[in-house]
Amino acid sequence: MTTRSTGTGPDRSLNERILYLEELYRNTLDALETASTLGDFQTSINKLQDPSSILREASERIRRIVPFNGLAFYLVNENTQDFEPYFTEPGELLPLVRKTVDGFIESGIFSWVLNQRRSVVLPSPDGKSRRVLHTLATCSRIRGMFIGLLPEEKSQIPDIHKSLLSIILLNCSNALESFELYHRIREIKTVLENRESYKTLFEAAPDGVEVLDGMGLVIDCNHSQETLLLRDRASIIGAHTTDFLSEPYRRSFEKFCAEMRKSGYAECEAEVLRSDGSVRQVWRKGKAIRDDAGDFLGAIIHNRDVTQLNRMEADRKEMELRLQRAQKMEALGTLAGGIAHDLNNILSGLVSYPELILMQLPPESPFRKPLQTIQRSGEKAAATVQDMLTMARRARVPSESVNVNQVVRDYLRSPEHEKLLSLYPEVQVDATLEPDLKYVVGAPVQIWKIVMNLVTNAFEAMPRGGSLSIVTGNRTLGSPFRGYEFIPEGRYVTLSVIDTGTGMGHEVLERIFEPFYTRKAMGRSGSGLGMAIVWGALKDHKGYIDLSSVEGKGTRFSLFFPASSRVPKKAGTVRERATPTGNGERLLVVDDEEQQREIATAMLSSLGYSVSSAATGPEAARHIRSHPTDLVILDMILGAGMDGLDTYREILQVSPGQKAIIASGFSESDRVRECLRLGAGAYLRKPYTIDAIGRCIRKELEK
Amino acid sequence: MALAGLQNLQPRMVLAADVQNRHGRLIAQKGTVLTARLIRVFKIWGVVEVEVGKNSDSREENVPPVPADPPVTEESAAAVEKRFLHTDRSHPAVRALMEIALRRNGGNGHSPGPEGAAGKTFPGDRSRSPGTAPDFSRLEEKLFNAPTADLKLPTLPEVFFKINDAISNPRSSVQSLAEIIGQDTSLSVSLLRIANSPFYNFPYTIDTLSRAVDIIGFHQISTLSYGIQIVRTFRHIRQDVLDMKSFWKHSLACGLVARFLAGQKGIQNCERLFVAGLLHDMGRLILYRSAPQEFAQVLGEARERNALLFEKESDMMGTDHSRIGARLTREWMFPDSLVHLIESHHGPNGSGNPLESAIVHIADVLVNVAGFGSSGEIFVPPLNTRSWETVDLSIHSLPVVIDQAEKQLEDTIGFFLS
Repeated sequence: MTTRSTGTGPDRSLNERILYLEELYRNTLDALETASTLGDFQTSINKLQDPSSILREASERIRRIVPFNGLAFYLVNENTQDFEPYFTEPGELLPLVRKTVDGFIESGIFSWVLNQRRSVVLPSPDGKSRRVLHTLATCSRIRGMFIGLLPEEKSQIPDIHKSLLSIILLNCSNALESFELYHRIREIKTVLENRESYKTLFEAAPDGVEVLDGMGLVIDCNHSQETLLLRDRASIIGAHTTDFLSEPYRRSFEKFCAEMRKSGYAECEAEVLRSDGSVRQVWRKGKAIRDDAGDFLGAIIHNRDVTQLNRMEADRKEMELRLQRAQKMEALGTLAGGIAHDLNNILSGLVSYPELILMQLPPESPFRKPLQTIQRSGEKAAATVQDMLTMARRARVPSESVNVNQVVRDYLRSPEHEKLLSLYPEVQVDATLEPDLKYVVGAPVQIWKIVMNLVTNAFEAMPRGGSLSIVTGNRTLGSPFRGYEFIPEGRYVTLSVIDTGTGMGHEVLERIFEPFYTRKAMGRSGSGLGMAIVWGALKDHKGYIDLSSVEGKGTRFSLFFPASSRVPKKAGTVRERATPTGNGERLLVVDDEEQQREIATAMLSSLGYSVSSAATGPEAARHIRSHPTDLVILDMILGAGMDGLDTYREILQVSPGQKAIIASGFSESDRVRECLRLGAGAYLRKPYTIDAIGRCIRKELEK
Repeated sequence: MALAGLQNLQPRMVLAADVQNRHGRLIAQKGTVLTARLIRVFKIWGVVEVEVGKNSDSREENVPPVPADPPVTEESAAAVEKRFLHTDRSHPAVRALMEIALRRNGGNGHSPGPEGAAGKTFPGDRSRSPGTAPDFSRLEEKLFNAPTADLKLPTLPEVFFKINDAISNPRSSVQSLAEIIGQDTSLSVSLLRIANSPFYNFPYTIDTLSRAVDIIGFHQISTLSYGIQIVRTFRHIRQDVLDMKSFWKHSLACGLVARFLAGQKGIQNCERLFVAGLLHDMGRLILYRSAPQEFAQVLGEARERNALLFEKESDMMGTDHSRIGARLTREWMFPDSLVHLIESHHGPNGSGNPLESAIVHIADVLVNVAGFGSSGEIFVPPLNTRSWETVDLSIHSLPVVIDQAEKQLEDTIGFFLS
C-alpha cells in the first residue's frame, strides 16, 4: 500500500488524493479483470471419469494468484461422510498435508472452518508459516475442503486475492457437482441398460428358470419355464413350485430345499405336470440366494427338460441289450452252424442209403421195417441239423408269398399236432383267423416251424390243462411299439399264441430265445432249440416279436410279420407228389467227397439217368470238353483252389449255356447267387432226398 | 439412551438416533456402532453431542420433560392482538409469529410488549408551553447542515477513516489492517474480546489482531469495527425519553438474527448484516440525541393514536429514522452496502440487494415479535411479503431462530455494550 500523508477526514492534499485514487482504480480494474478470467472450466465435464482434471485446473489458476508452496483438495466421501485427500500438489507434500489436516480436525478448527464460506488463514504450529483453509461448497452442499500452504516468508496476500480464491473455489465446487450429476446419470443409464441385458439373458435362457422366495413360492419365471409347463407366467407366479411337480416329486422338494439351505446348491431329477396333463422329465438345479448378512432369501432353480435325453438313453440301453442278445445268438449260431455243416455231410449217408436200399427190397422183406426206422432217424437227424442251420441263419432266405392262415391250418391238421393233443388231453385249442389276412413274404416251412414250436411250448406250459388260442390279424402301427423289442411303424400281419399256463418270470423271458436254453428236463422233449428256431425264422422273415407273461396266469406270444401286398401266383401247400424219373439223360456230379459222389450217382441212376462224376473243377471241365452233358450237379466246395463258381465259369467257357444245378450243404451265398445268375438253374440243399433232387433235375431239364 | 458429548464418545457405543449436522446432512444412522473413524467424522462436521444407548425404543425416561407452555390468559391474548394491530393476519407467517408471541408472553401477568417502551413520560408532552413548540420543518436540513452545538452530529475517530481506506484498496492486506486497528487500543481490545467470545466460538485463543484478521476475515473485522465504534460513539446519551439499554438490546438482537440468517443463506460477509442490524435504528438515536423535543413529540403522537412510530415520523417530520440513519452513514463514508441496508429496512422493495435487505427487515420484525428490547416501537412492524419470500424461511424454523437469538444475546451482550 502506498503511503500517503496523514490527515483527518476531509483535509487531504487534493493531488495526493487523486494519485491515490488513480492507483486504486487501476488496482481495482486489475482485480476485476483477473476475476473475469476465472470463468468456466475448460475440460468438458461429461467426458471425465474422475474429478482430478477439475481439481488440477483449479490448482493451476489458484497458483497464478496466490504463491502457495503446496495445495491440496479434500473431497467428501458420500458413503462415510469422511473427508479424504483427493489431489495434492506437489505429491510429496501429502504426508505433511495429512498431518496438518488431522491436527485441524482434532482441534475442532476444521469443523469451524466448514461453517465459514471464506478463506481462513491459520498459523502453523511453529508459527513460522501459515495455511489457508477454505470450504469447497456450492450453495446446496459442502463438497470438500481446500488447503493451501503459504511459504515461510511473511508475504502479504492482498485481501482481494482471497476473494478471487473464493471465486475459483466456488466454480470448482460447481464443476464437481456437475461432474457428480453426470456420473450419476451415466450410472443410472448403465443400470437401466444392464437391467435390460439381464432381463434379456433371463428370458433367453433355454432352461426354465424359476425364482423362489424363502417359502418356495414362485416370484418370477422366464419364458422357457412357461413353455416347459405350458402355462403362462401369471398362473405360475404366486404358486408354490411343487404345485407343478408330479406327486412323487413333491415330497422330495423338502430334501432338495434343505440341501440348498445347507450347502447353497442342490440338484435332483423331477417330473413336471403340464397344463394339458402330460409330463416332462426335468433335471432341477437350485442355487440359494442370500442377503449380505447370509440369511436365506430364496433360490433360483433351473429346470432342464431331459425327457428326450432320457428316452434316447433308454433306447440306447435297449439297443445295447439287443446287440448283446444278437451277438450271443450269433456266437451260438456260428457254433451250431459249424457242427451242423459237418453233420450234414455225414447224415447224407443215413438219409440216402436207406432210401436206395428200400427201393430195391421186396415189400415183404424183414429188413424193410428196420431200414425205415433208420431212414426216419436219419430224416429226423437231418431235420434237426436243418433246424440248427435255420437258427444259425444259414438257411435259405425265403421269398414266397405265404398265407399264414393256411400255415396254421396245415399245422393244426398235422401229425405233430395230433400227437400233442393226445399227450395233453386237457388243453382246449381254438383258432381265430382273420379272413382278409394279408400275405407275408417268406417260406411256409419256416412259418410252420414257428407255429409248431410256439404251440408245443404252450402245451408244455399247461400240464394240468388250460386253453390255447391262436389268433391272426392285420395290424398297422402308426408309431413305434416298445415292448419286448422295439417294433418300428409299418403294416404287419400278426400271429399270436396265447396260453393259460404257468407263465414265465422275467429272467426266463430274457433268455428264452437263447439256443439250448431250456427249463425242461433233459431228454424230455426238444433240444432246447425250439425258441431259438422261432427267433431265427422270424428274423429271416424280418419280423418282430412281442411277448408277455405272468407267472401262474399264462403267456402270450405275438409275432409281427411285415405285410406284403403281393398275391401269390398259386396257393400251395406242402404236399407229396410222385418223384419224376429220367430218360437216360447225361448227368455229371461234381463233388470232392467220394461218398457224396457215390450216393448221388446211385440215386440218380435209380431214377433213370446216366451219371458220371468228377472230383474237382478241372476234372469236370475236362469231362465236359470231351463228353456232352445235359446237366451238371455242382457242389460248391470242391477243393483244389476252384470252387463251384470257378468251375462253372470254366464249364461255361467250354460249353456255353451248360445247364447246371447247385447242390450244397451251405446256405445260399453270393457265389451261389452268382452261379444262378450265370445260368445255374436251381440250388438244392444237401442232404437232399431223391424226391427233391429228382424234381429239381426234371424241372431243370425241361427248361 | 443418553446424550453424550463428543469428548466422551468411545468406539463400540451404539447410536440411538440419526446424527445430522446443522444443515441437515445425515452423518450417521441410528443403530450404527461407533468407530474411531466415525468419531473423527463427527469432529469434522462439528457434531457436538449424540444420543447413544443399547436399545432404540423411544423410552422417555432419561429425557427431561419438555416444559409446557404457560397457559394463555385472556389478558395476554388481548395484548398480543394489540401489538399485531398493523400486520396482515391472513399471511401464514404472521399467524405463526402471533403464536410465538402468545407463547412467549402469555400468562406472565406483565403487560406484554417491548420492554421499556411503555409507560414512560416524555418531557416533550403537549402540556408544554407553546413558546417552545418543536419545529419540524426542515428538520433534516437542520440536523445535517447546522453547525449549532445542539444539533451537532457526533464525529468519528480517525481510525474509522483509515479503516475505510484500507477496505476500498484492493491491495490492502491483513497486515495493513491490523496495523491500522492496532493504533486504536480500545478498538483492538474490543475486537479481540469479541474474536475470542461465543460470538465466534473459535476453538483456540486468538491472541493477536493479525491472527484475528486472518481467521475471522479482513472484511469481517473491518465491518465489525464500524459497529463497535458507532456503539461507542452513541453510548453516552441521556436516558429519559428512550431506555438506552433497551434500545441497544433491540439493536444487538436484530444484528444477531440478521447475522444468523445471513449464515443460513451462505452469505460470505455475515458481519455486514450484523452491523446493519445493529445500526438499523440509528436514525432514532440521532433524533433522540440531536432533536429530543421533536422526537418526544412524535413519540407522544404515535402512542396516542396507536400508530406505527416510523409512519408518524414520516408524517410529522417529512423524514424517518431509516433515511436519517442512511444519510448519516453515507456522510461518514460507510460502505454503500451498509448504508443501503440501513435505509431500506422498513421498505425493502426496490432494493439493490434484495436478499440482504430482506434479511434485515425480517430480523427487525422477529426481534419485535420476541420482545427483545425496543427502539421505541410498540407495534410489530408490518411484514413485507416479498421479503418473506426472498428469505424463504420455513415457518417451523421461526421459533428456533428466536430461541437461538435469545441465547446468543445472553452470551454477547456483555462484550458489545460494556
